[in-house]
Amino acid sequence: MRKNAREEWQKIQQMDKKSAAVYIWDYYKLWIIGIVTFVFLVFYFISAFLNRPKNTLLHVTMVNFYDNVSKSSDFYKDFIDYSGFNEEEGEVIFDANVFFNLIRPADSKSSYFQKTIAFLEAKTTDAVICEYDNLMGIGAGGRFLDLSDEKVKSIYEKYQDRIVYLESEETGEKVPIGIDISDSPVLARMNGYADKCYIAVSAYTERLDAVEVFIDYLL
Amino acid sequence: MANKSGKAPMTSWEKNQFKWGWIFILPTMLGLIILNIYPIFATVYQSFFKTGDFGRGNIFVGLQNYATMVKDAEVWQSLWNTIKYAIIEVPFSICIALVLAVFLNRKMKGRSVYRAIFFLPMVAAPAAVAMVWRWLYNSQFGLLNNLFGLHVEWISNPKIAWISVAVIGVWSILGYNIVLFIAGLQDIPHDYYEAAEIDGASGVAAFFNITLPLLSPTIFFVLITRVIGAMQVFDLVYMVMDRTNPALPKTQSIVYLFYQYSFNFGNKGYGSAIVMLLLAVILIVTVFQNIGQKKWVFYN
Amino acid sequence: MNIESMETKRKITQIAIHIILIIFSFIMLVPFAWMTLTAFKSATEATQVNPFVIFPSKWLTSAFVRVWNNMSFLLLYKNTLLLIFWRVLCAVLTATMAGYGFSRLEFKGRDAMFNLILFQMMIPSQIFLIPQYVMVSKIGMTNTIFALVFPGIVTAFGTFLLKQAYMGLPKDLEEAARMDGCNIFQTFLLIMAPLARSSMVALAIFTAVFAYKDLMWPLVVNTSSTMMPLSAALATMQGQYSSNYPELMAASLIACVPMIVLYLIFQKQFIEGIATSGGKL
Repeated sequence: MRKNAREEWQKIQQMDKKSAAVYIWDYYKLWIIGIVTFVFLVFYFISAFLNRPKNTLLHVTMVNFYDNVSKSSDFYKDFIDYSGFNEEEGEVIFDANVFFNLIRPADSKSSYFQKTIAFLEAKTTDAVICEYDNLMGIGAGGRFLDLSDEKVKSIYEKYQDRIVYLESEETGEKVPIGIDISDSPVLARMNGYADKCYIAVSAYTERLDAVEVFIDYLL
Repeated sequence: MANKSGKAPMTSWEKNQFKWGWIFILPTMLGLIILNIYPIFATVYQSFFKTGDFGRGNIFVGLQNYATMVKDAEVWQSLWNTIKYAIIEVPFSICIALVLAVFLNRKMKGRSVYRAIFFLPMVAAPAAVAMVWRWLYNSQFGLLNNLFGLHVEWISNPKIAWISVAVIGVWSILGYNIVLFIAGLQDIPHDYYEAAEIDGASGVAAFFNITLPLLSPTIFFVLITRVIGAMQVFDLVYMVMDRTNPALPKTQSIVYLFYQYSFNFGNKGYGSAIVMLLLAVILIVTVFQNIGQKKWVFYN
Repeated sequence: MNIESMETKRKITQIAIHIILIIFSFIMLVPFAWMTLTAFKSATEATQVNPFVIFPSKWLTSAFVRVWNNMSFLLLYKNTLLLIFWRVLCAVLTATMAGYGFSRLEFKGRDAMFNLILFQMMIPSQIFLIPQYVMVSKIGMTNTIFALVFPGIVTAFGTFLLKQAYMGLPKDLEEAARMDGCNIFQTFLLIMAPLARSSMVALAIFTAVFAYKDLMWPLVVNTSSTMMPLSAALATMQGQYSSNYPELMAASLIACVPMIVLYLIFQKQFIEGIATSGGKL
């Protein structure tokens, strides 16, 4: 092996520059392409790892919401001011790129519904804002937190008069899952929902404090 | 070979094959295990639970999901709908595509134009496809009824809706099958046809005696993957059938039902059980196809 | 049989074939024609369901202009092409290798592994969405090209396709190569892989089309608008202006232009394949 390599090297050195280059390319192009790709991939992963998203402080999904909620929006800046969250520590994300209506489903909209379910189950999103039909539609799957739970006692007590219930078809049991936020002064300023809207807490979330701050901010 | 009793030591050729064989399949297997096999086991595990309980945790129910499923008429109806769909989609899409691919593989004028046209539906916007078919099938303003002076409710009459859906299925899968068949046809050496031509065989005879046998590995591949694909039909049903459509119970597929349970009703345990049923059915069909292939698939 | 009657017979067949192909071309073209015609209509005209208004009363190009100005197509093209490039590269590379291993080599564990491949194809893809998303988000790689490519790194479908392609190839070629002193890898790389080229092209076309059309995965994994591919951006647009069909169709038309160009390039490769191996009916 070693001897071969040395012979090969001597052979290449004897050629002039141009034919050496042609020779190397002809015989070793697979190796060259492979190594270059590999090095590229290693660098890519290192840079992607260094630029990976900061940890999340709060993630809210806003279904069928047609106003700007990106980081440059007043809504976002206003909330950061209100909550006192430090943007160095992590991100606050409002995702309004979700459109579906569980009563009238149509083509691509099923993807948005699946996205929402995936975000709930993967613990990506902490709370969902939506209209009544969608609230009951997603709620029927048991993916929203039962608000009478010990964990959210303070939210439950504060907003008791705004809570809406989901009646289970099987057992007839009534579960508190949503909070009416239709009269939120913050949302009123925006081009938001024409109908009534509600906020529900994910059953899987681990950031309940941040959710509470957000609900307080809305109302 | 030398030592037939007990465990024969591997010859160097066998060792070599073992080493290279695993090197060749390793990237694929690794990827597959991480991306797919692990989620499949998670699904099997989930099918023993009742899930989605407002953050109170999943409840172990043993085989109860399966017991409920066996008695659930909706599940069996959906399974039957899916099988009916496959019975139409698979043979029609394969036969039509095969004939068209043979035509497109001939040397003739305009071949590239035809090929480009048959490719177009593959990149058309799904919204456009949905709109066009809905318009064609619309009972009041639809092209079909207006053109032939009919009053058929193509997608809301339970007796014919499943056929209408299957027609869209055949249409949308044609382009893919054609691409695969053309690829297979190109690997058939030209000399076979020259020999046939000298013998005075007609085009039709050449098709049955040369093209079909030599293309049989590709046909087998298309058959297996199409049966699996047809048994998993979902988008199509979702696209044309509204949830209020009276024909929905007679057209909804098994994956559609699984989707309803896993995503809409939040009962992932039951949804997983349905997937296991589907898996069992496909597995049985595939095993039979694999046994059957010895009769009609020719490998060099 | 005299030559003249054979010639007429051949001509008749040729014309019959053209007629069949033209009929099917029309059937295949309908959605595309609808897309094009709708893109030139006004928004109100586009939602009329009367089937006899097929052509726009006035050909408007405003939808194209608006869409081109509102969406950053160059960025979307870039993301989509990167997605397609990496998926096609990974799929063709891994499937060509694995297909060879499964078809031409005999080793312990081969059949069990291949059954696993078939097994994976039998599971509806909706099952994989959430676990795969959890994996990507756990390693903090959401909103990257890697995330887009991730589920397409390997392909069960492609492995099966290539396996069948190798199985159709004659065995003597391989044996001759072995006699000449090629080892297994050289036989694969120099003799067998080039012969399976048309199946590789078919797999590349499939992978590219599926990557282009894949909506569910990009929607979940890349939420940042700078990292979206075309499919997700079109869906976002459809979500925001659901009734504006002319704009949606104009955007869809602009979106599929690179796909058609890519296909024409691949198709050339396809036809060259015929020129070397030959093939009439």
